[in-house]
Amino acid sequence: MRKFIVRRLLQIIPTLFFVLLTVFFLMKLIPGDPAAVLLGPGARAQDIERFRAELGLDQPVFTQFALYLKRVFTGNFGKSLIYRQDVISLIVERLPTTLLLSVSALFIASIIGIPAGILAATKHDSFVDFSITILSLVGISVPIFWFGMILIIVFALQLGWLPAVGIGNISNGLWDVVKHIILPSTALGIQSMGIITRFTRSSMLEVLRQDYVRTAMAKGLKKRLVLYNHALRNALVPIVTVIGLQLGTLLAGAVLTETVFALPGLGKLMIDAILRRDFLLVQGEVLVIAFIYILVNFIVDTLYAFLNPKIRVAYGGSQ
Amino acid sequence: MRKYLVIMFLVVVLSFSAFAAEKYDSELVVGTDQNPTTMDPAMYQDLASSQVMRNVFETLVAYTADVKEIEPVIAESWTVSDDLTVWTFKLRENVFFQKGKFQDGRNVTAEDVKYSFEREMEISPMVRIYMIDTIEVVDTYTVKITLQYPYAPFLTVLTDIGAAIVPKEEVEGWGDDFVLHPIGSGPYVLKEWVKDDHMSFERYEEYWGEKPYVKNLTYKFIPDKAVLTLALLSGQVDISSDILDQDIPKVTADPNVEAVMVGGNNIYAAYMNATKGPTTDPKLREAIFKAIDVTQIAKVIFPNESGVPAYGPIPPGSWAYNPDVQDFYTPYDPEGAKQILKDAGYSNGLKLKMYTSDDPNRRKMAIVMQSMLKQVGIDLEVISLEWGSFIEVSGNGEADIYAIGWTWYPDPEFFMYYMFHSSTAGTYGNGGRYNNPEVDKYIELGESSADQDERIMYYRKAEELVMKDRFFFPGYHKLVVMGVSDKVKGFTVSSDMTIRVFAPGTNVYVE
Repeated sequence: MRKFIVRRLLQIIPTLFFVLLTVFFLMKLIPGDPAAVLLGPGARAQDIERFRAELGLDQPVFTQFALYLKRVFTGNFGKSLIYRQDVISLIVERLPTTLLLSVSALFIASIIGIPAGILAATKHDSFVDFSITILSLVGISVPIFWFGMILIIVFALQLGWLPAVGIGNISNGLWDVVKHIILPSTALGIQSMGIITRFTRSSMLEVLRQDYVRTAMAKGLKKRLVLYNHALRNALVPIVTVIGLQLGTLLAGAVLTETVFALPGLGKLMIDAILRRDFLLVQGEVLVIAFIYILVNFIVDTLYAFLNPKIRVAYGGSQ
Repeated sequence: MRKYLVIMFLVVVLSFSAFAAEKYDSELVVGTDQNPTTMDPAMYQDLASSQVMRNVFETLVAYTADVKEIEPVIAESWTVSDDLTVWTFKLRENVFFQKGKFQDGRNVTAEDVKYSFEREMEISPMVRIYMIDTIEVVDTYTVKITLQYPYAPFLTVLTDIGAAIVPKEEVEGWGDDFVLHPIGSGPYVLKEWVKDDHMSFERYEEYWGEKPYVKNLTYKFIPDKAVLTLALLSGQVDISSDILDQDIPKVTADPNVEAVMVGGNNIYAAYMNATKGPTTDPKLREAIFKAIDVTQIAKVIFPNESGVPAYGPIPPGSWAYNPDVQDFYTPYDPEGAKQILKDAGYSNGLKLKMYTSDDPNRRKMAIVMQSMLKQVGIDLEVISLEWGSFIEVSGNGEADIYAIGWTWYPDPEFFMYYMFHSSTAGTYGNGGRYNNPEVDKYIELGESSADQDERIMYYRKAEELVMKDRFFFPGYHKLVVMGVSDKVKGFTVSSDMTIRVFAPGTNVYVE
């Protein structure tokens, strides 16, 4: 098990380097001179020139990359061009919002998606199964932007139950944060909810057809017991993987959700940074998001190894 | 009887004073779709930042909320030499900085003006007071500024928050963190700033000037304009910075809010290439003007009339706007256009490329132009780009036509110089690389004349020449549309899109 973990951890370094390399050169390839974009339409040519030199953009690209790499290794991601503050502090400020949003979305998606999937599998080919399948398909297909808007119109504008925008303040109590996060995390989670439901359903169906489940049933065990102790545990392995992968999708979807619900998160920061060519901020942010994504994958893989002893054995674990 | 009168009198007085006290307890929430990025005047590059900074910082002079008059703020009075190069400002002696960590609310003096302006010129990525040559402290409250050349709109430039007066002790004491601990001489102090979410200000009770009614002022940042309108309708914000044309009926239908529209200081137009490609042919440009019915552009983009057709570059919000601007306009005449094209040998058709940003209004303008040009046999290819890529293409002189949007102060200089003076060729403003020495001459005369009527005449003359050259096809002027709750009193929508809660002649309160 330890060997497995160490090996996976070592893989993180080259992956991050590759991510950094890609994003650095992608930012160079997109048209739009950062100095000109940042200074805006009224800028004079001499101001743009001066600003370019100040940013080091007048040096050869490879020199710029080497300098950037050197700085990153010492933990210095530079200063954002739009905010004139440390990239890292800007990211750290917004990280909690995005994590809260993604995790709550995943939570809502899982607590509704998994039971719905199990229900559909056990009532296979019934009206219930049919309705759940259709609903999950709707959930997968609905655009976040539109669904978010509908949620605001219904729950904030017409019913007046929940606030339309913003993140709330923890100093006003936990409820203030919770009531602000319900609508956005529902909007963001709906797609994952659909995917998790469908995945749970098919995974359960497959397991339920296995011989050992039939044997357990034949032994006269209670259906509930068979379902939860025998079937679900095995069906859960692929579901955990899907949930882990969903977190990546959710981080990406957070961009849209944060825009609709005006949440101060990483997604909104990223969009602003790209549109205004704040390359140091984009690079820093991509690196952090990539790191989170890799970390989550690592955790999922480890969990997977725990749930399925075969994987531990394959890596020559201690069992 | 007398007893009753006394009681009645007391009731009236008490309720009145209670009301007055309430006025001073006003709480206001402003919703904007743009997000401020800095609280350091020397560092700002966008309207969203300048707007919030006006609460903390002050300038020597400032615009009234209707953006028509420039009024003294830190300056009490000023004189200017006849050649418009030496400007002497007498400061008020009772202006104080807010108390901070590094000074305890001392007087604002001429030294501070010198320090602030020199700092702006040294570190700002975009120097707004670049025409300054030297700054001289005459005495504690008198400062003499010499310009490199005569510049009539200098006072306008000084209203820019980039020219705000900052205390040296705080700037140097905080260093890079001054952005997070801004201290100026303004009526509000920054209480909290959760980036991308909200910013809240609290009235500074020892402010040197008139006391603002609003005690707690919050700006809520809501990037999506449709959602911003929903936030206004649901009562989460009291003022919203912009309402999309399609949302106007929703707002007018609600009895508790109002959509207030004023003429904006902006122009959206199609700028044609003056140095390269087919548009260098004057015959073709004449045909293009004749082929397009400009009234249709505004009708398509603004079904709810939050925009008007444009006939010249100077917007109706400017004091130099010419009500007779249509006199130099080449009117719609599709048959005439076809004839010109035929005579000029374009009967086999012609292809042109037009670049636009991804702004929906500008794209609609390009598409209306495309369909009208098609009817006279011109094939207009419309290419829509994201902003950063767009300004690169518009400035590099490769585009046949690009969709320019320009918005600034009401002084015509900020339209005519930046879009038509030959020295700006190759920038986004003059990406068409327009160069007409006669236009240059009138713009320069406008810059260096002290008399407002004379200046109006020069800029109008330049505008007339521009319209006769036909490189600049004006499309529309957008109105500034803000949503205002009926609880908000004393608020004026500004043509420069800045939300002014407290400004010369304006003191907003909430009922």
